[in-house]
Amino acid sequence: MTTYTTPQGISDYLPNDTNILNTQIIKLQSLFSKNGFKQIKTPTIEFAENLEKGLGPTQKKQCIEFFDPAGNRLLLRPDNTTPIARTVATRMNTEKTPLKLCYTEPIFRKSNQNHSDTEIFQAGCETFGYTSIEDIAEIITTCINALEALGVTDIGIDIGHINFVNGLSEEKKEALLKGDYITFGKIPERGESIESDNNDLTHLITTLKTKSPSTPIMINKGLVKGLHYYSGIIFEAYSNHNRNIIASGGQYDNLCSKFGHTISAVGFAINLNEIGFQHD
Amino acid sequence: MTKPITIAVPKGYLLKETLRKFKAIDIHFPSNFEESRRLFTYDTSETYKLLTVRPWDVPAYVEQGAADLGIVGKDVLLEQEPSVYTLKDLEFGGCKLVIAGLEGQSIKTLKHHCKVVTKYPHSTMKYFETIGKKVKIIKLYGAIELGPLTGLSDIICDLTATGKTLKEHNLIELDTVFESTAQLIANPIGMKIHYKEISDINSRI
Repeated sequence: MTTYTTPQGISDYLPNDTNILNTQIIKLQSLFSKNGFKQIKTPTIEFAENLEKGLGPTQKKQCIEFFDPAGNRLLLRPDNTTPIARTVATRMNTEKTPLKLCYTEPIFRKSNQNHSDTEIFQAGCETFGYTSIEDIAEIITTCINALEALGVTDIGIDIGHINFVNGLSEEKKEALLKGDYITFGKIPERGESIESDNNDLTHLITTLKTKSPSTPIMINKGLVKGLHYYSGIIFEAYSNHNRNIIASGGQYDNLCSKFGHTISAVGFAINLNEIGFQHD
Repeated sequence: MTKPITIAVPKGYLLKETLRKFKAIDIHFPSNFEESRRLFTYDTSETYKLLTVRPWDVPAYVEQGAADLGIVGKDVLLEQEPSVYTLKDLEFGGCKLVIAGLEGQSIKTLKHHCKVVTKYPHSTMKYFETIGKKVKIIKLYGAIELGPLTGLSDIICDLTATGKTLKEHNLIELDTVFESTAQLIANPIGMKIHYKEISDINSRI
């Protein structure tokens, strides 16, 4: 029997799944709005040449590209942060700061040999022009609250800092990114309190512990992200019931300047596919 | 933590060595497990659950999180490139992936588009890309040595520990693709949930 299936990593969402996804999105939009984040939509399709200004090598490789009739290279957005940064830098650069934006849109990344999803539904928040550790803490607690609103239990947060990695040799950085702890030389340190002269990090942890006392917050010296735009604190959220990272984010103070306007930024994205809404 | 730490291990030599290593750090699995037909067991403290799976399936169990830890040859990791953490080289189960052919052949004189049979198409492709030769790769599931003897291929790319099987089929090693030993691997999330326990095993084993 011919089943007329969809491409690898792309799915139909039948009424039950669509209903679950939409309910999740409505919950998140209401929560984000209550926290002062305004919804924004950027296009699914972008000029490759433009968006690539903000993308790192790993992300560029994941992009799905094609040509328009005039021969311009186009791509499907591989994340929401870069197009939003482009929009803020070019069209919202006179807005009052902090500028708090949120989105609930799918992204598109080439499916790898492990059959990862090509279309990934994301929801997230970004604060542009943040000034304090409290603003970063707000992003992380909004992320935790959003996951809780989706019914995720046993959430844990790992926090890292770009400075943990910056001093390392290229070989060791590469090893960390690949999870090759043999080449790295050891399992990276991870714990509730780690010897660190980073005051921002200490301040952030104290703030988070007050705001989300029941969530385990760990400093992870091996936390690295394939996204090159992170500039300071980075974090990821996991749950004991999921076997992949369910949300991640961090500071990306240098991204908007790639599009011509320098402004600090911090944000997070939740992977809704990973939370699970597909049952049929 | 009520859920045991699950470890996927291939049956055979790696399982024997693994059981010995765990015993040495005071983690005891039933002594008759190796001979039994059971596919999983628990240690005496019921903190650890051991799964016996096919060598090629260990990365899938760990990557998908059905197992927190796995013990697997580096050859399998290089061939499959799974998204897992590699924690430690356990230094047993040593072997190497080699290019082998009949007497008189050499890597230098190999023609472009020559045929290679292998169980390791990805590693074979990477090797020939590195040396800049275009070859035709034919994937087989076993009895690789028959390739050049039957005219199926010009050369082979296969795993060898002692070189004995190669010699018996009049094949000689032309080059080493990589050397391999057993590695301890972990699921990235399992690693967060059981960080202390896994770090402890890793430092003692």
